[in-house]
Amino acid sequence: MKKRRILIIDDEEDIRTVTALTLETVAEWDVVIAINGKDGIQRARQEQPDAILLDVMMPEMDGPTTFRNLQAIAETRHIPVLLLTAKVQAVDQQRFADLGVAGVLFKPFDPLTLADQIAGVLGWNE
Amino acid sequence: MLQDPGLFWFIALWILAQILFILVSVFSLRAAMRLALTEQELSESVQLQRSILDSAGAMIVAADVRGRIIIFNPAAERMLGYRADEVVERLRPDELFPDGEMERIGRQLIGSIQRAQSLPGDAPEPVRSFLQYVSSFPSTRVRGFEMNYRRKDGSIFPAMVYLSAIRSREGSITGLVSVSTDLSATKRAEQALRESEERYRDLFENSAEMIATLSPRGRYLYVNPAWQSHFGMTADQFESLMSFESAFSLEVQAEAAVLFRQALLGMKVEAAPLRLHTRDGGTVEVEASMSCRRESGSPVSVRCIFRDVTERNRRERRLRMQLQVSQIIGESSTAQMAVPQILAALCSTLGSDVSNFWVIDEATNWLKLQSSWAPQGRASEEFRAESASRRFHRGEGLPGMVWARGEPHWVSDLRTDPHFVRGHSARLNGLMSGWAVPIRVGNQVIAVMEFFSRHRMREDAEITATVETICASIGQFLARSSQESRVVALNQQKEFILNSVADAIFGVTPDGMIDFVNPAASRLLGVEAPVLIGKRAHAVLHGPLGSEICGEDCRTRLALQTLTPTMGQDIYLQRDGRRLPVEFSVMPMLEENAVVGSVLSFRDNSQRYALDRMKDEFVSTVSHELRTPLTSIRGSLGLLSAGLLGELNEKASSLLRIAVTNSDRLIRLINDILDLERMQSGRATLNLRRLSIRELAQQAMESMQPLAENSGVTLTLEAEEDVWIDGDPDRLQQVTTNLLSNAIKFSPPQAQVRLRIHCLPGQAQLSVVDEGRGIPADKLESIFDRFQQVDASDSRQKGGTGLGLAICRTIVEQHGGRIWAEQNELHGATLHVLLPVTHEMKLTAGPGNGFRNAEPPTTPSELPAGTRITPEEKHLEA
Repeated sequence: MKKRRILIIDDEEDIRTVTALTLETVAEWDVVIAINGKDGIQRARQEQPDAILLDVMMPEMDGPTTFRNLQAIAETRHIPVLLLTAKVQAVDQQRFADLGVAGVLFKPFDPLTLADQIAGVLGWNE
Repeated sequence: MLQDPGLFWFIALWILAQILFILVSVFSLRAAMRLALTEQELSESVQLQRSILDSAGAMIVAADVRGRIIIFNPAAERMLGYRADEVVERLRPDELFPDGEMERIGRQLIGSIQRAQSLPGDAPEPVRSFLQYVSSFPSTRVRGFEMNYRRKDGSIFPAMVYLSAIRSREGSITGLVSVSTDLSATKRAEQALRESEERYRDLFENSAEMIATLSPRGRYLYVNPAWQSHFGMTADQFESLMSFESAFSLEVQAEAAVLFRQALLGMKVEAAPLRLHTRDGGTVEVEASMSCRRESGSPVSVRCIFRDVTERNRRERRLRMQLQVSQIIGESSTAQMAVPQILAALCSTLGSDVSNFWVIDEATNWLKLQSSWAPQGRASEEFRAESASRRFHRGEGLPGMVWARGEPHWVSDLRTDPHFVRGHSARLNGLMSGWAVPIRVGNQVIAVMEFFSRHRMREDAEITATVETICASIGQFLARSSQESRVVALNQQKEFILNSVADAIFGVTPDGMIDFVNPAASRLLGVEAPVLIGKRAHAVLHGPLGSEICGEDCRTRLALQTLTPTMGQDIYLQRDGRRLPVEFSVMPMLEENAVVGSVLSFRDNSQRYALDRMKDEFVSTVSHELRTPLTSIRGSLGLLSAGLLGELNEKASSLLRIAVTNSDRLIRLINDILDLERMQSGRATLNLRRLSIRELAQQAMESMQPLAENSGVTLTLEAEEDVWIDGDPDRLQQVTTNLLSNAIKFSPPQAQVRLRIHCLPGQAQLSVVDEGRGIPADKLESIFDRFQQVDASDSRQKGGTGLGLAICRTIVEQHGGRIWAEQNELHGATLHVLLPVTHEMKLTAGPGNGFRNAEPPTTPSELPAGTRITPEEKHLEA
């Protein structure tokens, strides 16, 4: 089975590090990192990851905007996007549901089960 | 010249003789002439006497000294029935009288003279006594007396007899003559007069009217018994009075004197009203009629007739007082207006000098003078001033005593009564007596009325009864008036409240028209109240078309149409078209169980919206800002403790496990706080579905199975039957797992945790029974409060947040259910959850469903059912 490649877009360096390490260590996926939305879009076009783990609260271009941009680009439109967010309010959840993302995962996460959750949402386990 | 003395003496004697001769001749001539004249006169005189005798109306009978009747005139013939020739020189005088009459009278006559004179002739008795009698006084005198005659037919009649003597030329008695007049008519008249007088006297003496006769100078000549008894004085006492008016009391003396003078002057005094104050303290009202009897134009006496009209006046007065008081009451709107008029009316009608009105002050329980009245011109200032300065407790003073006893009380002498404390000022103003009467409402005394008089008054049951009757209507009026003033005060208070509340208030008629607007409502909508009155409430709030900002299900319109108690949130239009988020309430107005309209109140909710937004943002930010660093921490610790980044020694692994556990606890705490805040603020609403209790229990059992196995605890489901209920599956799942997790955590190894399901009518009960350490009785309730655990160290040892049961209770109550804990027979604890099968708590409140907060249509609602994304905290719970 081909090794999964996943793009992490997050403005927090610590989060990027821990998430990347988690997925690399626990799931042994290839991890590509982007430090903001703009960077993320570029990486996505270049790297063509199997999935994108997208933070919501980012300066300049936030998660939803980044997602809409990714959807607007033909090369990235097909890549499933999961939001990884600390925003757990009902009002936020409604907003995310309306975006049309593949799924939403919440921070903080359990590093031992994060990959399973992603795979579960994306149907990679089947 | 003549020298011879002899000659001288001769001549002298001769002259003297001549003179004597002439003198004698002259005298003789004169005598002869006079004699001739006397005889002629005598014959004329006899003729005259005869005609007098014949024509005299009086009976003239004469007798000579021998007792023979010599004259018997025609009048005597008529009166006695004899002819003169039958009597003269035939009958004896005593035969003209009844037997013994002359002897009787003769004895009296003899007895009346000093000494009898010797009489010529041989007149026999009884004529002799009469002769002696007439001879005792000069012939010029005539004496008269009464005696009875006997007629020829034997009948007897009284006569007045005048006797005189017949004397000779020499003056000796030659007989007597009697002139008699018949007294029969006079006697009859006298008798009639006497009888009439007796009748009158009888009438006067027994008359109920007071009768007195006075001399023109005002001395009392006669007072009848009625007069005496009314004045309380004897006839002697009246006789000693020097004037008519001095029998009266000082106040009426002048009045009485005027009446007397008027009568004396011949003016008509008829039924003049006069008030008598009797010596024993009574008051008698009379109508005085007085007349003066005159003779020859001069007043002889004044007759006074007083008619006692006290009773009649009382009746009239009672009626008048009742009429006056009811008129005053009818025309007055307040007690303050009515009371002085009532006092004035009663005071003047009762003839009192001062009247006071005391009211019981409810706050201080004191009697205070509310009003006082006195007729003008009568000193009463000191007494009224002292009354005004006084306060009486129950039982104190005259009004206090009447208050305490609840019945009228009379003080006949204010100066000596020990209970009467205002005696000094009463004395200053000359007040003598007084009385007071309570004014009641039902059995409760609310006021006291006092009346004072300058006269000594005795208790008068009739007046008391009259005034008590009047007081009853005054009491009712006062009660009504105080209720009315209370209503006015209440209305003012209500108006003040309505005007000062920040909430807008509409009064709405049953057909939806505005009939009341408070200032806040016109302020909030920016429309003046008069413009709003009479407009359709819904059109004012939601625009003339209504549909502009609301639909079929407009709750404000429905509430006003159906007159159903409703609370909710809505958007109303202001005059300038701006939309005002409001929280509104519609309450039907009931009057005697009939709906007469509704009250719509609403308040500006925009500030609350802003606050809610700020709070949401804050919670969201805090949540986000806490979670972000925790993500790094928890992730790093998780990777390290799993040994994925290299093996660690035992101590390091142990420390990392502690760090992981505590960061998990911290995350749970943040989640729980957010959960609770959302639910209790009402923003986390239920996502209701029809669900099976058994299924719910099974799912919870499954999710808790790993924890139970780790703890060596057996989970058992005891469900005899299944129930479908309306509920939010996620939330109820949260409750069930929480209860199971607690039970497992507090159970010793090898213990059993049972999950029981009971079906009750309309309800389903879930019970989690453990064999753990149990819950002390005093903590059975408090464990549902935030951060309240059986043991303060539990949260640290068991990894709980202290919010689990508080969240459970909130969720259960949101479902309309109940959660409680009890000790069980296994020495453990049982937690029960009772849920209604049908969920009555709708997301939007319908008619007849009581009050219920509803989300405003502009607020973003919850996720549509079925699309809700499960919060991630579940991943960390197990």
